Amino acid sequence: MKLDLPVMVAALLVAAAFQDILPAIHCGGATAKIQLLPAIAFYYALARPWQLGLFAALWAGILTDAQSMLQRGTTSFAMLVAAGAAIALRANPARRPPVQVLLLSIPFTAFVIAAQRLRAAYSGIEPLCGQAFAAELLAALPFSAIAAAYAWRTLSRIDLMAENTTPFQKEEMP
Amino acid sequence: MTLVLLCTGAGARLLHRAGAEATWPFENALRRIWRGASSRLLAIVRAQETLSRLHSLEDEVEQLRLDARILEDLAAENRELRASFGLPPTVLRHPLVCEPITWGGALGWWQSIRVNRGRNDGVREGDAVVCADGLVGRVSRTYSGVSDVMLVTDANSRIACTLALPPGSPTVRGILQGNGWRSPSPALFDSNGRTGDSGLQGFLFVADAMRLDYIDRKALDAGILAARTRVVTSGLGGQIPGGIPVGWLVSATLAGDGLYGEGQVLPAVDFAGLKTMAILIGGRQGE
Repeated sequence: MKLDLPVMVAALLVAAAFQDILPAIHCGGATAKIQLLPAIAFYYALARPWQLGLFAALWAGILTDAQSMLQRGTTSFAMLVAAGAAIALRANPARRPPVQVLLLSIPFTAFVIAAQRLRAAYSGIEPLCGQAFAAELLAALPFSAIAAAYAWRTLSRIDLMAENTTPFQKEEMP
Repeated sequence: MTLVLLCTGAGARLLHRAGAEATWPFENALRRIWRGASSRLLAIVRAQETLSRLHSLEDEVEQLRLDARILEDLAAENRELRASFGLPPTVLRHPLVCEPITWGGALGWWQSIRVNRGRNDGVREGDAVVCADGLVGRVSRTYSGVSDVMLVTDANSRIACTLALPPGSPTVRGILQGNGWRSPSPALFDSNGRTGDSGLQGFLFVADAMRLDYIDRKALDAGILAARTRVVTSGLGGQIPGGIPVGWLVSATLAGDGLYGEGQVLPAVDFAGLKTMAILIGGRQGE
């Protein structure tokens, strides 16, 4: 029996709890949090079947919106778009070295943050300020990229242990 | 199906509530693990200090118990007096001790905290949250085991306040609005982010000054609004009891439209050091 769903649910909930609990980073007048939920969505989008990728993205967005005052559906939509693009562009999934994961996660997370900022500005919650937005990206992206690489590695191992995925060596054998 | 639910209003609400309800036990658990580990480590590293602190806290608890007994007598006397004058009994709010679990939500943008008490403990939306220094904020959302508290410094917070002026002075009211962390107040900071004329307070307090709107301009003209006047809740509206300290007036000037005055208020509470607070639950009827 595959344990895809339990592993994904546990990963999303733990990531949501950590993202909420970890203190915000203050940089250049901007406040940002380490984006752990996009990291989970990023892993599922690039390393697992596309259905799981979209499902993880959807729920990562719902959890983010549930724990913030953003309008419902904002982050879900942004993550779905980002995950859809990642799925469409992906090639040879799951065989990525940590540095590549780290670099690829940056545009993914940046897109999600940009969508949230635009929505917040459109709703009148907070006006969009280019300088503050740049500072926020600068504060959030490096840590979020490291978190994405770490989440990728951890989830790959958990999926392997749960036999949700198979080792590459076996796949490559004729 | 999830996507369809998300597209409908009620479905989206349901999904978001489910998301929040599913997450808070993990947050609580992580917080407890962290607190347990850090307190054990501190107990080992600072054993002597912890012991002396324990003794002083025991003394303080005894003192507070004595105070509580005196207050019980006063409350009984007050009840009797009210009954003799035919007044309805005062409905007291019960302070429910709580502590913060998370800060700023998942994105860290908002001036809000999540506390470890929820609907199951009797918390309702709108309840006031206080600490020893004064008003912290009010409950904005409740879940079964946790609640979100909007701090008074949040830009969306509006609290009816009054100025604690000397006896004999007219009552001066206003609506207190938070400024958030990221929008430095022009009176405290200039365009380059440096402190302005009244600027020392900008360094002393982490939070931006809040704004007290709709001050009666007669009070301004009379010159009775001195700096460092205490700002307390007015109790209007019935959600937040009156007399809770909120902050200190820094300055008051005429608003741009010239109809009302507006003041700058520094918060009484040190939000960076919040540990134990109390939610004032119940007691909304009959007030």
